[in-house]
Amino acid sequence: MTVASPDLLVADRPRRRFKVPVGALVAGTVVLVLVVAALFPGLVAPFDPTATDTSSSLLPPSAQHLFGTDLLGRDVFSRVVHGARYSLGLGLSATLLAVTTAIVLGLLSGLAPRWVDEVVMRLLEILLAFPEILLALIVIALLGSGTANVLIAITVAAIPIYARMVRVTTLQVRTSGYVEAATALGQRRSVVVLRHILPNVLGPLMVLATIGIGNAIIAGSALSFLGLGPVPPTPEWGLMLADSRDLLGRAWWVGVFPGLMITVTVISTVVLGRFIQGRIDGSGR
Amino acid sequence: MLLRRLLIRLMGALVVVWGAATLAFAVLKLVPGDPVDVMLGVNSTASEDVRQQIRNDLGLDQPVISQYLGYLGRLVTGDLGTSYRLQKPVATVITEQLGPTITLALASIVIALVLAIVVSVAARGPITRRIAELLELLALSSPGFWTGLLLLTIFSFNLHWFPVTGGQGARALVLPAVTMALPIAGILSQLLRSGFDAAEREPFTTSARARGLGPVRMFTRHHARHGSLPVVTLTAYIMGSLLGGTVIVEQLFGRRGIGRITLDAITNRDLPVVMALVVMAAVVFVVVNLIVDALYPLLDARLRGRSV
Repeated sequence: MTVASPDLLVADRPRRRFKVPVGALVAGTVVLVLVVAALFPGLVAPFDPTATDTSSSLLPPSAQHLFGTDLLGRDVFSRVVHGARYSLGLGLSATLLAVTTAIVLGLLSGLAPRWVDEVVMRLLEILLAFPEILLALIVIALLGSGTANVLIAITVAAIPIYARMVRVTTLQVRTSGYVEAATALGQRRSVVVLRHILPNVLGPLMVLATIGIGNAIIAGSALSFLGLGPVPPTPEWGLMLADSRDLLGRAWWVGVFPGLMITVTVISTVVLGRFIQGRIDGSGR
Repeated sequence: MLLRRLLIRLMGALVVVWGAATLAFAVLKLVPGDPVDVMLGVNSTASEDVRQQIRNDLGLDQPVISQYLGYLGRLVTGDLGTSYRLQKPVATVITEQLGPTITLALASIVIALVLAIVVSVAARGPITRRIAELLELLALSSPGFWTGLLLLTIFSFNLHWFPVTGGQGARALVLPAVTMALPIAGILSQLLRSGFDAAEREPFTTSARARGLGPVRMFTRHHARHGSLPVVTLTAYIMGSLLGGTVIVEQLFGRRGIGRITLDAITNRDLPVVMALVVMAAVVFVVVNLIVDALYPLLDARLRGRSV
């Protein structure tokens, strides 16, 4: 037999080893669109999100105003597009901050002397006794309302769950063969932690965090809805919903679309998170 | 033996409550600014004498450690302090509002359980399973303030089946309770389905089937019990999500209750009320967990007589 041509070699490879399920594909597309909307809202939104026009107040959805207009004549679609920045930004940065803090806390707790572990764990246990939204509200009670404080509040509320996960994984990995081998070979403790333990902690944590972004988005918009976050006329989704409350009987579109965006965003992150989880541990279909 | 186990559990519960109380106190001390300013409001023109008088009344001139001990002592006797804003004992403020919230929470649990059981039992076929998965995801991913608004738009404003806001009657309870129940039903249904699936693979299922047990008896005698275990584990989480849910739902539907008090205390920075609510949440969590621990052996014979 002659040597196979390069073309044949390519053809021999299994063509699509990873079949991406439709759900994950749709979710990925939605997230991509949302990221574009958050980064370059001007590209997607046809109108200024804060420009008022009383002559076109409360117009129902049409070709010109896809999602209709609100009481002040602002284009709801443009506001929803611009709002992606706040909700996604809040959810992503809160999750990132919480995960980073959790890694530090969890590693510390898993590797430090017993008593440090005990103290940190008891503290986390107490924090875990509270529903996330209540923890966030307590932080708001202390710091006052505002966008930055909402970010801190959601971060603090999310830390305990992530930290517990980091600690559990750390404890599991610590007694594994390769960590013991590395220690026996005389590697420094910091090297063992960074090279052998941290990479093992990151995988499951990323999955939890992807699903957690949805939670953070809901919590953030909930606090905004309660009037504790950004102030009008910020086009934040939760705030837009709060504004729509008095208009329910007259103009359903003012509240329905921002809420729909929250749900779609959260579902997309959750579906994507489960897909990644399946990729990592093989539990996905 | 049983007594000892019970004592250890109780001690652990007390530690959590004490920790929560201490945390609340520590956090209160960390608040930037003078509590008297918070009490009087930023624009207050009260004289320094009045301020000093308030500090004396609140014991704020004492050393921190005696403030802490005094606070713990009062807590043990059920004295939760006085609301800055309402000038009423916090315990009174809370007990006054407990009724509507408990009614709402109970109604939500019942609705969530019924929904979850119906969905999870119905989702035994391949197509119904996909539908159930979709519904659960939808219920879990929709924030309560949005589903509430949707329900209001549809059933109150367009169909006029239920009152829009306020009211304490049974009709006024339906929409808020459903709003709170939906995400909980989503979680419960997921858990129940995986519990039933696991039961299906258990040897006792094979053996019961070999004895000729019909599907209905199989479900009521074996699968329902087996599948409900993880749900029981999650009870404390559900209580928590109810507590958080009331804040949103009571605000949205203009209802009285603990959620409303919580939000008012937070926006007005009425810290004694916030602290009392923190301690209360911890107590609820701990009590629920104790009850759950006691329930396990009743549901699962394998756990009887074993110290978990």
